[in-house]
Amino acid sequence: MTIPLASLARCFQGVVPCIVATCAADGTPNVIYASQVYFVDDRHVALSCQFFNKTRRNLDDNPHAAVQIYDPVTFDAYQLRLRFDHSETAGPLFDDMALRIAAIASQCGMTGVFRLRSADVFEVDAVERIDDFLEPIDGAAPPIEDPAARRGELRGLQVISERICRAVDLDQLLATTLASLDELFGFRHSLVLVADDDDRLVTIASHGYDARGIGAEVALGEGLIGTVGRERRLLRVGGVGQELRYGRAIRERIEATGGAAGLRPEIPLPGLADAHSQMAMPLVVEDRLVGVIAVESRDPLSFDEWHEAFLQIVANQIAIGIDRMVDDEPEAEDELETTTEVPLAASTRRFCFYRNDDCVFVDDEYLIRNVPGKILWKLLTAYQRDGRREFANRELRLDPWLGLPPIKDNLESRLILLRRRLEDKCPDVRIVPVRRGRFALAIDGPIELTERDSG
Amino acid sequence: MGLISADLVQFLHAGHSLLVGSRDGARRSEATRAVAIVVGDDRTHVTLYLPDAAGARTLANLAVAPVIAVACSAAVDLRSVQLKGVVVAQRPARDDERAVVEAYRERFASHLTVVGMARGLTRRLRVWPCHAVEIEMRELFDQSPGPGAGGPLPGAAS
Repeated sequence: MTIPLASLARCFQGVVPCIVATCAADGTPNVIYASQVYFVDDRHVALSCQFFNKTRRNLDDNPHAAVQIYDPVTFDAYQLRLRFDHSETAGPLFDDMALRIAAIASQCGMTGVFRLRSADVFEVDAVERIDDFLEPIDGAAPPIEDPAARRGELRGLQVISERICRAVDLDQLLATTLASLDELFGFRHSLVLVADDDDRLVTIASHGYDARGIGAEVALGEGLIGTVGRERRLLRVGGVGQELRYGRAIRERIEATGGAAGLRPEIPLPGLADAHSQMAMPLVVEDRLVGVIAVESRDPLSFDEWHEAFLQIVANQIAIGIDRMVDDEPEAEDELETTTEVPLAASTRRFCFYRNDDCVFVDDEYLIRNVPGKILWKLLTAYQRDGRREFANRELRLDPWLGLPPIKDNLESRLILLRRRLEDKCPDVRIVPVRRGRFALAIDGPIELTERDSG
Repeated sequence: MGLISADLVQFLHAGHSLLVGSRDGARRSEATRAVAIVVGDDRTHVTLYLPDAAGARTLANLAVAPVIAVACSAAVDLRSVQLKGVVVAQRPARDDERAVVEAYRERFASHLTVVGMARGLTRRLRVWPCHAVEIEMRELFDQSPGPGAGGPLPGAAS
């Protein structure tokens, strides 16, 4: 083998589908597209087996296969001469490949319908560059990786680490980190979701989007981000568009053959509608899922293995930072201010709390639900009944009606979510941090509160 | 009526990806791309164009084992068909066929721009000089992704 497999890393990112040729026992060739060849080690690659009916039968009869792969930057082509070695239905390789497929299947509403059956591992007998596959062009120098860029990323990591450590509250920590990922690494689009009590992930911070999407939710196990949360494993998908086209083609096929009953609606991707690459990392402290950080790009090759490594470090720091904010609550309580300023003239805001599902609407439009919804209702009620403006995190923690867990209650992230939702939907009602562990409710006009049971 | 339906002729001529599988005398496979296809008037024979350089090993295979698989796949919705047949002849493509091949590459480039591949990159695919491979198609398969992929093509002409 003259070309090291590891030197073809870009070809294994799944951006350009590859061609797989096999041969039956009777000598009849077969050829198919496969969305990705997985690099295993210097002598082995793997193909995912989902619907490779004929290909799989051929391999059982004749282990020789050929795969043509493409560099998505230069479009150079390579032929891998393979010999089928074995199939894996468990273990790290299978899990890695299955995670990616499960995420795409979930995104397309096909959880359990479209899944990895086996990771088929091949020994690589030869790697050959296809000569004259492309017309030559003048001045096309091969891309050369600049080691200095890596040093810059290390420096950027240092800067982000410092900013995370210096953040005084969770809001600042998240805003600073996401802005730094853009400023220092060029990750223009990013978001952080935190785990709530209903096995859902809720967006509490975003960067680089026209609409902030704060409060957007995804269930654990649903879509790319939900799958990362449930499995607590990093997922990097280049060529998202290609993967989704593949998933949708399968979905159409299933629908056309009467199997639509097992399908669910496709899940809208949070963030960019036209993302071509995504990477999502779980935020885990000890054995607890704190949330998920996701970055995405319109460039199918934005993220590689190196990004996995250093973004995992950033993710760990964010997770620890979130945890620190939860633990760092000051115990001292000052006298709380209870006076109310005269509201500025404005139209009346009508808030409605639906008791059955802990959901708050404002002016007949959904605002927020669950614990953040109950927190808001507690604050609004205290404001209207007692004229209170200032509140302490501690009193929220001690209120059994809110149902916060006794430890690791994510109160900071719930307050951020509430603050952002108010900014987006009801800017004349604001939650303003006063000092650590204390915040004020600022209301610019009259409010009207109603409680109902949802129908 | 030939094997290939009128609808399928249109699909094959549309400029989609053309994948080719062949094998040598020891049943070792080769994967490559064809650069154009033309369905004959009888709708059973096709002419497949393989670039001389990138397709050299396939052309050599077909000389010793004249069986071939050709898949045609649309980039946008991944509709795919596979045709299997026997090679009846191969020859250097004539100069008057060059326009056919280059027009196919142009349609191919148009399809790939929809999925984000720059037209300029696709146009760099070397399509000339090439060989014309005459094939008598024997079987058609539905290769669109999903359960049942690889089954006989419904609605194929007979």
